[in-house]
Amino acid sequence: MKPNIKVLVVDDEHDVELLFRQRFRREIRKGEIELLFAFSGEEALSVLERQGKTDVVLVLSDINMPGMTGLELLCRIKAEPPPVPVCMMTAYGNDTYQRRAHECDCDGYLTKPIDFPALKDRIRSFADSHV
Amino acid sequence: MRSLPNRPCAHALLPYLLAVCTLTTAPARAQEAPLPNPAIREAPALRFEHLSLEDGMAQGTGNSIMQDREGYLWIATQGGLHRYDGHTFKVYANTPFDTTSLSASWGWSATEAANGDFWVATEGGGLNHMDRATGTFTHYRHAPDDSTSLSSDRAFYALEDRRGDLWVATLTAGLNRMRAGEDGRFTHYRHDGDDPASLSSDVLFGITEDPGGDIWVSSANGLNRIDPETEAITRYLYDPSGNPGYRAPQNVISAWFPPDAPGVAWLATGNGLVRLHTDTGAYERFLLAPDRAPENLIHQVVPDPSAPGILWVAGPGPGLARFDIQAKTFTPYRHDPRDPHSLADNNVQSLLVDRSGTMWVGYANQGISAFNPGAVNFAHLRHDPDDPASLSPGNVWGVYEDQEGTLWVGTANGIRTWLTRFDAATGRVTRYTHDPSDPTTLLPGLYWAFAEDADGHLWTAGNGAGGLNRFDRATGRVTRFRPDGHRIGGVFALIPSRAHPGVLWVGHNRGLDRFDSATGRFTSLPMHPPDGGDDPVVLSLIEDPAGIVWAGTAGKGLARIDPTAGGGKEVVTWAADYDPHDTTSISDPRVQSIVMREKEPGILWLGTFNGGLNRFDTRTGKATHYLKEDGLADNVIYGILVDDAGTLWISTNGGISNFDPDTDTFRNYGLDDGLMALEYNQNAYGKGKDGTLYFGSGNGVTAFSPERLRTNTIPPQVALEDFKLFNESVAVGPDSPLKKPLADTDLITLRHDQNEITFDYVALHFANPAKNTYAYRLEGYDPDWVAAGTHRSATYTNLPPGDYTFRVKAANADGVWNEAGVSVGLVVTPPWWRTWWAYLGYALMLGGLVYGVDRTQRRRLRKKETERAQIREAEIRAEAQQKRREEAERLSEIGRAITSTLSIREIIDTVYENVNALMDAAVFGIGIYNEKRGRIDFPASKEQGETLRPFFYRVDDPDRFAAWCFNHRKEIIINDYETEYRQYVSRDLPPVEGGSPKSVLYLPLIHHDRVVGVITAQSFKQNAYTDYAVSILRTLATYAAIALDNAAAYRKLGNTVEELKTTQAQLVQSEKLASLGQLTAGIAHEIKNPLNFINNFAELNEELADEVVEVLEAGDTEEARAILDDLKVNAAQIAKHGKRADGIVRAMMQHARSSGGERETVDVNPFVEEYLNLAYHGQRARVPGFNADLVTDFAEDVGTAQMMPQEMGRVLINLLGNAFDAVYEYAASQNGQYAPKVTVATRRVGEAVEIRVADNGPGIPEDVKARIFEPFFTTKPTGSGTGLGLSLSHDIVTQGHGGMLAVESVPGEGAAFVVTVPG
Repeated sequence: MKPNIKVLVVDDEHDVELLFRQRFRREIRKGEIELLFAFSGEEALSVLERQGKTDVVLVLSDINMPGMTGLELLCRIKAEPPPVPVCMMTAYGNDTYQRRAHECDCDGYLTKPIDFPALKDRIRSFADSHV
Repeated sequence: MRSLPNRPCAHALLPYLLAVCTLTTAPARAQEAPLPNPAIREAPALRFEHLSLEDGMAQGTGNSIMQDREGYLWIATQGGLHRYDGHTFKVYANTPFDTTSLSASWGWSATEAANGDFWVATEGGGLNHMDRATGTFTHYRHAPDDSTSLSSDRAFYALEDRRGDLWVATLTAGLNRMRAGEDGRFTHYRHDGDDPASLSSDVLFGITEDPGGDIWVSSANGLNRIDPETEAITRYLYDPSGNPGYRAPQNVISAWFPPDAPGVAWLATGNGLVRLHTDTGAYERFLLAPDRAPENLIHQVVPDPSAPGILWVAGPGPGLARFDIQAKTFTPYRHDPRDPHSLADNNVQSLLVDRSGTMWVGYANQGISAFNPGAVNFAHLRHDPDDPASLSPGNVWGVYEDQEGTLWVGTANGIRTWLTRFDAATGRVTRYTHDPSDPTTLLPGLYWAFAEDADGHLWTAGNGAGGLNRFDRATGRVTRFRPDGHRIGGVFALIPSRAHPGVLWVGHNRGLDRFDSATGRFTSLPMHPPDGGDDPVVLSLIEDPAGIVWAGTAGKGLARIDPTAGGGKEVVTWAADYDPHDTTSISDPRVQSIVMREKEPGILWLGTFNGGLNRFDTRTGKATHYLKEDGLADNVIYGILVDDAGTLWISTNGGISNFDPDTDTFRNYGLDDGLMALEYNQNAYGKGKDGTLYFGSGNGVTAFSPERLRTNTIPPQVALEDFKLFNESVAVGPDSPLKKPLADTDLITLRHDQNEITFDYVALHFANPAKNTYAYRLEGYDPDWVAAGTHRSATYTNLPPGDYTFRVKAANADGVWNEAGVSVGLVVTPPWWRTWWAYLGYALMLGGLVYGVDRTQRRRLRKKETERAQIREAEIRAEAQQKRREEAERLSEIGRAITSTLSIREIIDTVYENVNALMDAAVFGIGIYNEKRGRIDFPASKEQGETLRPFFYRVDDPDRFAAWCFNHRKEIIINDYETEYRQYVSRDLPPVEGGSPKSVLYLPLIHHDRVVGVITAQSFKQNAYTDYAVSILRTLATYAAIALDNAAAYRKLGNTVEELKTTQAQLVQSEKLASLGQLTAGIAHEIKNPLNFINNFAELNEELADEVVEVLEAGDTEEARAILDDLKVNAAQIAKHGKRADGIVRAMMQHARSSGGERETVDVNPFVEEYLNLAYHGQRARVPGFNADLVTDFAEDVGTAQMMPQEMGRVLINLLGNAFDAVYEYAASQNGQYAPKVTVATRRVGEAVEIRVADNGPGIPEDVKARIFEPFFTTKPTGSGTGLGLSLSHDIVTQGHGGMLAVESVPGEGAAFVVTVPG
């Protein structure tokens, strides 16, 4: 993992922040990864705007959120350059969701409960390919 | 006019002001002049709507204007007689070589005859009689050699009196009288200088019949009264010196006799208006311009249609003038070249007040004009550059009437600003302005906020140098007050506090200040707006009776200031703001004006910048909105005033709206009504002590007393204008369906093939003809009235023969209906082959035919009888026939009894009873063919009266009579069993039941050519059955067959019904399962999230536990402590999400447990919220990508209701699911231009509780709405809905809860389902 890569986690459940911070506590402590959180699709877009898209190597978004759904967020992010990898995470193993996500060029589709070791590998691979 | 920018512009204007203002000298910069009463200073503006050649007139001289009984206007011009219906002119003129056309196009006048025809007096063409029905004219001309002809062809006026005598005034040769019944024979009355009993002049103008029946003829030299019986003439205003000119005082052009004042006549003369007392001959003369004689020539005088004591006069002298009888004063209205809506020309010829309250003037060459005399109730104050005692120049920005009745008006012309004072006590007009060199003059800026304090000082302020002017009315000097540091700019609102004497509340561009008028101290009240930004501009202020101050702001809604709550410190709370997601919020955050009504405490009426009028309830915090579509003149509101009756007067961008909250009605005033402008200005409005309302505009100030403004309550006259067949006008004529003019026709008779008809109709109400509205109905064809809007024609095609009545009614522009309207009967006759005489013919022909056949028959019979010559036989025959007839009757009764039975056993019993009575039937049975099993069933056979057990024979059994009979479709008649049975069967088998008979009958039961079974009668005797018995059984067999067929059909139907019932039950079950599925999906989602958290944090804790061991082994206690802290946090998370899951499960259990049949006390809001969550997540689980804006509007006082939670939950799931589907599908069709929204609201309505599920989808069409609660009715594609959801919900609500389920829908705007259950 390259130092200081940023991952934006989007979920309307606030406890997700605590969970992710603990799951990634070692990486955070070593300064390998920085986690950003947004609790709605709209907030995620403004975080991206503020941070600058190039700093964020990956967006992890829940699908089912009030207001802008994760799928809409995905499509919005993908609609404007530069491309930012986006992985969806959802409790629904729903084919339609998955198809729609891939239509919008989704970079990964994780089902909840999330397999964190696998997620970490994934982030590493995104970070490696991130220029 | 748009409001000024909120930010002060004074610093930009200041150099200008300095330059200009130094020119005026201090301190008396005032220009003064007396003003009797500002409100009548300027004649009210009338707005004239002109009609001339470009509108379809043939010529522009309006010599006279008349309204006929139907309501049409008739205008006599030099180019023909014109009929006007409010939309188009129809012209009657002279046509060369057409002797039935008008004799001369130059007409002076048209009057109506008793029969509805017209008399037209022409210049040079004599008199014309116009047939109304045909539009043709008969001429009455002067013939020099005929002393009984008309005395001159220069006929000016003709009047048919109550006797039917016709009087004709000529311009050169005196008066003519044509007595009733003496057509074409005129008696002449002439002037004779030597005979004082003769006519006063040969130059005559008008003729009037007074209420007593006397004839009054106005002449160039006085007025003549003629007793029609004695023919005695009395002269008035006669000048024996003669030589009268057209402007002579004795030149009487017309007269008007007020019906309510006998003995008085008003005369229009060459020199002013004259009131004549006819008893004494005394008169008074009223001159319009005593020193300008030519201006006193008037042609006509008419009463005001609604104001008593007001007359209108018109003529070439003054143009038009309004005369106040009491005050004896004239208000002239003349042509103003700058105003296109002023009188078109001062050379006015004629004047009319029509029955709809509109007035008309006819010009010498500019056509005609209409005006609304009620517009005089708007008075105006304007700047007059030539009059220093007029209003100061520029735009009016402030109007205020003070306690003394003095009017203060603030104006600005872009360079300078003024305050004009119209002093009530002295009548002086004074203009004040800023002088930079004199600190006792006004501060620079606009003057639009005014207040008076308890000490009687006048305060004014406005946009400009932020501060207050205290004005000393006695000296005209100003004391200026500005806060330290000049921290405020424009002042928008200034009100004295009633609760705190000496305090003024100041709304300004930086918020709100409290000003102490005794100390001159400003105290800023920080408003802390909810968005955390700067204090907003305060545009409007009001103090309610409780001392609470309400502040309307520019962009942040409404604030509430409680001056006492904070222990002497003001407490500001924010009461209302615009929320796009909440339709009960105020409709615009910019509140320009606030008023209260005494009769509605707690209600504020807010005028918003672009969101119309809001009714804001300070107790609930909710607003109701009134916008343009509700009747408001425009959504941009500047000011609101409340009149003494409690109605609101609202200045907008589209005129002034009057809104009555008690009746929820609007009446809008525009230029036609007398306003000087459509746009009145921000802040420029005020109310006077006597109830006068003032509104300021770019043109000046408009003032009016609301109680003097009336809507036009005169319903319109309605006329049928034309009747068309196949789109061709039908002319009146002997061979035409119209024998008389349409107006006089009661019944139109048409042939069956004249069945495409059109009626043109019109409302003859001229206040605003384009806005008259109509409804029509063809009774016998239209089930109800057809609302035609402003359309003036109705067409029907393919009318079947029948009797009809066509009715049409109309409303004036103010919506006042003439409910009676007009009607005409219509008969479409049937074709000849369907008339009564045709039917009579058919009957006769048929009779003849029968008669012929009968005769032949009889002849034959008679021949036979003679041949036999056996009378006895004939007798026997007659007896037998009689018996047969009786039996036939009996049989037919039996048949009825049999065929009316539907049970097989009963059928058998009934047939048996009858068979048994008519013949020996020791054994009797009916066999029914059972197709499925290939056998003939005998369910209830009889032997010796006993019912046998059921048995059957197989149809392929060769040894059974029944099978033979069935298969061969033939009868079996055996009278000697032993010898005859072999014809049918090979073996003699004993019957299955009972003994062996000697005589046997088997007949097939045939119905619709199908053998349905067999019938058998058997006897233990030989030769039991005669031919006659067989024939009887045959008849009964026929009946039995029918009955069995009926029974079979009935049984089949019964099965179908049973099947349907089962299917329905299954469907109900599947609908229940569907809603259960939705519910489960919701629950699953709800529960999955906490479980994920629990799993995750539990796993984490395992890791952390391992880690802590490692760290401790490494001796890093600090790190170990940190990890332990994390462990603790995670444990708390696990517990928290465990509880969350537990709660969901518990709730689920609760619903599962409630048996459904028991009602429980349910807390409504949490209950509804829970199901909203479940339904929403269920929907999202079901429909990927589903999204909608969910709005909840839960009333806090809803409380509990008695409900079966599970059942009611199902209803909510169903209603919400439907709403979600509706908005989702609609969104898909709207290409992103639409935001789907579902609103769930609860509220308490008396004892009941209301739950409302509304969507903003496409709404429900009326036809669907009517059927929506029917079982199996669905709009979804086959297979995607059971069509039972709403029907079940309906049952649950109505039958299960004794409540109501209602549907509301506006197509295109959404639908709402409202559940109401007892609380």
